[in-house]
Order: sequence, then structure tokens, then C-alpha cells
Amino acid sequence: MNNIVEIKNINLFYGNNHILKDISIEIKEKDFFTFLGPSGCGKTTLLRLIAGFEKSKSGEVFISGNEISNLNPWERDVGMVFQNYALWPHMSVFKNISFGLEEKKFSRSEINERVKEVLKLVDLTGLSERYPYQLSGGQQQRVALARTLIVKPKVLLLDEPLSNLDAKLRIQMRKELLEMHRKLGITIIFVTHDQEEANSMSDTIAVFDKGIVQQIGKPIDLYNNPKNLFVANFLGTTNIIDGSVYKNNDENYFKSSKGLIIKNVLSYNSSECKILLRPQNLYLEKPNSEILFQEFEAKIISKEFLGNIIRYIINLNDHILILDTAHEINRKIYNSDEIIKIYLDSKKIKTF
Amino acid sequence: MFKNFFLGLTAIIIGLFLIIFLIIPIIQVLYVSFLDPSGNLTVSNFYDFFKSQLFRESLYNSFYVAIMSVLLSSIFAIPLAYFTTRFNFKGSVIIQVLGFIPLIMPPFVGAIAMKLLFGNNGSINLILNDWFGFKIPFMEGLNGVIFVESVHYFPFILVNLISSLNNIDRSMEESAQNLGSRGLRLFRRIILPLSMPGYIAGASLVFLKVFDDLGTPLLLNVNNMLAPQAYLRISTIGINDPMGYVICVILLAVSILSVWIAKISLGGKDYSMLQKGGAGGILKRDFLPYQKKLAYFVIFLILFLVLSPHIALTLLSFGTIWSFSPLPDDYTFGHYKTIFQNSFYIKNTLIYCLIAAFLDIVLAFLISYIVLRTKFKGRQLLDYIAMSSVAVPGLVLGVGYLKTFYSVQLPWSDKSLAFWWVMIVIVLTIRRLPYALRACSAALMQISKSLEESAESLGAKKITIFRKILIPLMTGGLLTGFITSFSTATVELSATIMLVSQQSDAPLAYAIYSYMQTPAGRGPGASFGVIGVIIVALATFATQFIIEKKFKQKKPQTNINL
Repeated sequence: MNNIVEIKNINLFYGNNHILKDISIEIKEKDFFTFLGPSGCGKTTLLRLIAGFEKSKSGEVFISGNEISNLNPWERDVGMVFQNYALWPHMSVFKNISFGLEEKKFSRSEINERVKEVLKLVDLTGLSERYPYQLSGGQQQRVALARTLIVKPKVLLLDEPLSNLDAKLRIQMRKELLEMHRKLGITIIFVTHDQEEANSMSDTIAVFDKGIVQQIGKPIDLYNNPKNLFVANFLGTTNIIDGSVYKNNDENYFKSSKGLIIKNVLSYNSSECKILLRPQNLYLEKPNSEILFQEFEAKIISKEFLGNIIRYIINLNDHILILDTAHEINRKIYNSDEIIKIYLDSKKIKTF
Repeated sequence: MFKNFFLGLTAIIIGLFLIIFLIIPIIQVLYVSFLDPSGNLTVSNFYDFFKSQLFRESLYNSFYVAIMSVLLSSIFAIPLAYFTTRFNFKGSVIIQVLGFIPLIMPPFVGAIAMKLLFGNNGSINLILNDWFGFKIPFMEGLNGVIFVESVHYFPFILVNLISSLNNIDRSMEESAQNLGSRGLRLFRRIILPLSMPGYIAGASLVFLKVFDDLGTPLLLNVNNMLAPQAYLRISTIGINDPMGYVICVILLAVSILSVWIAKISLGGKDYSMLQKGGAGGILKRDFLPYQKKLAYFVIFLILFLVLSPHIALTLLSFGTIWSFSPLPDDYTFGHYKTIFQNSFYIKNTLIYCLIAAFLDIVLAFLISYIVLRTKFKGRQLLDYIAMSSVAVPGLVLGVGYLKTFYSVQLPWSDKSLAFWWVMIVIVLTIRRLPYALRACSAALMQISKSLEESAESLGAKKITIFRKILIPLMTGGLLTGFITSFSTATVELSATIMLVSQQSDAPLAYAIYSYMQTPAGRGPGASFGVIGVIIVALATFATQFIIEKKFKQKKPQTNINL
């Protein structure tokens, strides 16, 4: 598949603040591509740059192979849905949606036709004479989507579109967005700070921090093979332990800052390092398997019941760690201050 | 139970006060306008009004002057609003200053001084004539009223327009650009309609102020307008002449109409409330060099116009003789000496306005508390009545007081109740109550009810809650209300002019007006004007200061209810 969007070596400043640092991203046609990162990481700025609302100091943006870096926003053929929807309050739903076609001088009959179509697509048929303030948050969002979709942009930019909806609606809109993405076969760039949203919706994720793209990849790959601690931390819950690696009899040992020793860790060429342990890779019972599990003694500090899992906070050699275990009826539940055995497989430890 | 009884009693007393001093005088005016000489109800007075050539002309002139003032004010305000909201530039600070300087001085104070500056033989025209051989009739007849009113009242449009432009979320414009719109088309379809409510609100305020103004046309000797006609009829023919009342009814009707227009244009569709988050204000650009020069030229021209009444008034207050010359012949402190010999005017004003402002803030606090925190039936009505005095022209209220209280005699003297100085205080209180009320209810709305409830649950009594929770938290709002009421009352003329019977009871505004009527009195009149402006300016700065200081301090507390 071809790249529909190519971003090359973008550097952007606000005054003296270096907001985007040498960013390069390629986005394939029909991809659901997500910019994920904490607030202030530059993800929205990059989105606005693609739409033409920000100017970069250097670098280029290509769409379908044409450079658009110097085009005005109204010449770019990308559709943006704003975080606050930006519906014009003085216009009815119909007027809001038909705006783009009117600006492009479409005939009345074609406008009416296409508005009807897109209203059906976003399930708002019958509300075309309402005004934005008469609509619920979810409905406003659909109008904003419809208003952008109707001009058939090459790329659809969504700036945290779900953040203003309540939890239940958010889940529903996720599904609808994905359905729409499948049905229309449009390329979507989606900005969010919510890892769950990103994981569940995206084909590809670019993780941002401090104006730098930390890693690009499929959600599962990012989770399994994070390139650095930031990505590891941002995608899922982790335990991180400081320490160092030393060699003894051709084996790598990890010794933590508080004296915890783990055998057989994957080598790391610097002696000072951090190891990363996912909570679900610590076990309370020794699993039945060929793998050699290492055994440790720990103390339960507290537990949280999360429905499908029970999350224990444990003290392992003075390291406070999280341990998740699947909740099943009849499984033993431990209480605070109990001394327990925990097991881990050193192959599942990542070293940074 | 007891505290509810007490609050209910307070509500009833306030209600009675408003009925006696606001509702009844207005009903009196309405009633008399429908009476024939023998005391029967009739509409023939209105028929007579429209039959009279002079009154038809006055009606036309009043509308003409008010509409032209709105247009001229718009010409001043729109470019300024556009510069400051659309462009990145430092002149915005000057524009902010322009937004309140003119309001420090009511138009009638500077009217005579403006004549000396812009009149047919005023400084500007003398210079124009010398250099270019022509004159501009700035101050001829109705022009003069339009010019003076516009210079003073255009900030109403400016401030409202700027605030509605700043309330337009940036994404409004960006989403239009994203869909292919730009330039003038974008302006016409998005920005113009979104800024309209603010503009209309400002414009109707200007219209109302100009339409009701009495002092300016009187001093400029333009008598063929409605407000001067009403005043002249009642002060020369007498308080039983129905024509004065007919005019008052028309003034009242037009006022209510324009307040109503302002209200629906802002209230019905408060666009700014709809959008949350995102950056405020329309997209900003940088000026091109020639645009920047042009912008500064326009700003300084308007700044000159705006400051001209102040400059001219100051010159007049220090000048000996000033006619047929660009500047006064010589300068003196003599006029200020005169006013210190007659300092009772200033003392009266301070006493009247301080009492009125204090009453306002007490009433406003109680009304807003009753409306927002109790469940009494009809509590909303209390608020409506108190706020409605915004729409009542001062002249109409003054006439109403005269008619209602003239026949009541003071028990301890042979004077009529209408001419007792306390009535001036009460009319000022009623006139300025809306300002204080708005400030108070805004402040009270900011305070979460849970703050009071938590005190209550700890065993505090209502009076303790007032004293220890509400009043400290509302200090900013209360003070702002107090100062606004005070400062706007100091230069109030149209209501008090009807109620002054002897010089020794007269306030400052009345002194300015009466001194300014004779050429010899202009110097001292101007000096009184300067004093008035200084009082209002100090009060305005104090408000500004308090708002900035207080609200910075109070921010964490007001956030509690979010």
C-alpha cells in the first residue's frame, strides 16, 4: 500500500520552545493511525500542522506525494474534527453540514443529496433543522464528523474526539468510528492521550513524548517490545526496578539497588540499568510449565479487587511492586501482611 | 422558623420600598398621560402630541440623533475592535484605555467645552479656516448632540464588540478554513453573525443613553428633542401639564424596547457559552507595515477625539476668557477658588452618593440572597423589579417623584416631600440599584452553597454565616458594586434636576449644569466638572484595582463550586 501522508523532519518552535523535534512519520493509505502521548507532547500540534494551522521552521508534509507544507488550510483537502467539535452555533445542523459543499460551489440538489446521505451515515436523520445547542454531546460530535466527511477529504484528522463524552458513550463512539473507518475506507489520524483508546482502535500508533516520536508500531508490538521506559510505562502498567547487571560464571545477574538478585537476565551492556516487569508476569503460584521459575518471598501490602483481576501491592525486598492475578472463584485470596511466595520467569524481564 | 420569618419580612420591606419609589412614580406618569383636564381617562393627549408640529419634530429629532449616534459610535468602535482582536499589536493597550476613559465623564459635562473646541468659532474650525479656508459644522444644531454623545458612548459598542469577538472560539474560524472557506466569505458567514449579539447589545445601549439624555441637548441649546421638551414643559408650564407626561411615556416605551432588544440579542443565543475548551478569540495576524501606520493613525485620531472633552474642560476650568481663539487668552486659578467657596455642592454629592451607594449594596446583597438562596414565592419578581430601573429614563423617574410626592408635605416644615434632599438620595439609590445588584448576584453565584451548608452543619447561625462566610467571600463583588453605584451616581443629572428646589441642596451635577448655562459661569462650571471627573476616575481606578487584586486573591475560593 502507498503512503498517503509523509511527514519529513519537522521542527516546530513556539518562540524559543522546541515543540516538535525532527519528526518523521509515514502513514499508509486506509490506516487508522494514532498519535499517542501525554498532554504537551506535541501530538495535537503535529495534527494542526498537517491541517495547516501551524507553521514549522523546517521539514515537509506530503499528501499523496504532493508537498503541502506551504498551502493554506483551505487548500489542503484534509478534514479535521476539533476536540470541542467547533460547530457554528448560529447555523442549523443542515447548514453546518452543507457549509463545506457550499464553499466548493456545489449545486443545491447535490448538496441536499449528500447531506441526506451523510446524515444517514452518522445516524442523525431527522435532526437537520436542530441547532447545536439543542443536541447532546454525542450528537454534536456526529454533526462535526458529518460536516467533515461530506467533503470527502483525503485524510480525516480527529483531535481527541472522544474526550468530551462520558465513559459509556465513549465506548460506543469507538465502535462507531471503527465501523465508519471500515465502511468508508478513509485514512484516519487520531490524537489521544488514552492508551486504552489507542490500543483498541489503531492499526498503527506513534508514541510521542517531549516533541519526539518515541516509537511507531502496531499496538501489540509496542506493548511487547517497548523501545524505552517511556513507551513501556505509557502502554500498560509496569514495575520498574533500578540496579545493575553483573556477570558470574557466564550468567547475567541483576542486582537491584536494594539488594534483590535475579538470575539469568538478558544481558545489557551497561552495568547501571533498569528492569521492567509487567504485573501479570509475577505469579503467586508456580505455573505448570517446563520453564525454570525463580522463587522469591514477599509480603502483601494491600489488594484491590478489579473484577476480572485482583491486583496485589507487594513488598519484595523493599521494592513496592504490582502483581496482577486473574480472578477465579475458589482461588485463594491473600490479605495484607501475609508472607507469600512469588515466581517469575527471567525471560520475560526487559532490561533498559 | 424565626430566621425565615425575618428574611420574609425583609423581602416584604424591600418589595414595598421598590413599589413606593419605583413602581408608583412610573404608574403616576402613565396615569397622568391618560388624563384629560377634568380628570377622565382619555387618549386625546397622545393625539394632541402627534398633532403638534414641534412635538413631531422633537420625536423625529430624538430618533435621528439616537440613530446617528449609534452609527457614528460604530464608526469609532468597529475599527478599534477589529485592530485589537484580529492583529498582534501593542496598540491594544491604548484601545483598552479608550474603552473606559469616555465613560468617566457624562456627555453633558463636556458639552460646552466641546463647543469651544469644535464649534463654529472653536479652536479646530479657526485653525481649519486659517489653513484651508473652510469649516466643518461639528457642533451645528443636532450635529453637536450626535458628536458629543458618540464621543462619550462609543465604548459601549467597543467593549461589547471586543468581548463577543474574544468569545468566539478560534476553532470556529479554523473549522471553516478547514472546509475551504476564507477571507471575506468566511468573515461574512462566521465572524459577522457570531459577533452580532455583542454589537447589537452595545448599539442598543448607546441608542438608549442618547435617546434619554437631557443635559447634553439642553446645554447645547437644542430644545427640539423629546427629553428637553418634557423637562421644559414640566418646569415652565407646571407639573399638571399632560404633554410632559406623554413625552415621558414615549421615552419610557423606547427605553424598554431597546433594553429588551439588548437583552434578547445577548440572552437568547449566548454563543460563547456553547463551546468549552480551546483558545478564545479569532485568529490573529501581524500587521503589514503600512497597515500598522494606518492603524496607529486611526487610534490616535480617536484618542484625540475621546480626550478632547477632557482637554477642553480642563482648559476651560483654568482659562480666563476663551472665545474666537484656539486657546484661552490667559490662565487663572480663580474658578477653582469660586468652587471652594461653594464647596457645599461637592459635600452634598459625596453625602448623597455615599448613602445611595451604601443603600444599594445593602439592598443588592439582601435581594440577591433572597433570590438565590431562599424559596420564597415571587422572589424572582423582586429581582425583575429592581433590575427594571435600568430601562427607566432618569427624567421619567424624576417627573414621577415630583408628581407622586409633591402633594405630601413634610411634617416639620412647609416644604414638599418631593423637594426634601432625602428624595435625591432615594432616586439615586433606585437608579443605581441594578449596577450593585448585578455585582452582588454575580459574586453570590460564585459561592457554592455547600460553603454555607458546611458552616450550618457545624452549628453556625444565619447571621454568623453572613458575617463570617458570605460577606468576606463577596467583598470583591460588594465593593465593586458599591464603587460603581457611587461613581455613576456622582454625575447623575436627569433625575435629580427635577428634584432640586434650592441651591443649598443641589449636588455637583446640578451645579455643573447651572453654572455652564451662562458664559460667566463656564469657568467655575468647568472646574466643578473637573472635580467630578476626578472623583469618578479615582473610583473607577479603585474598582479596577480591587477587581484585579481581589479576584486574584479569591480565585481558589471561587473555584470551589466548579
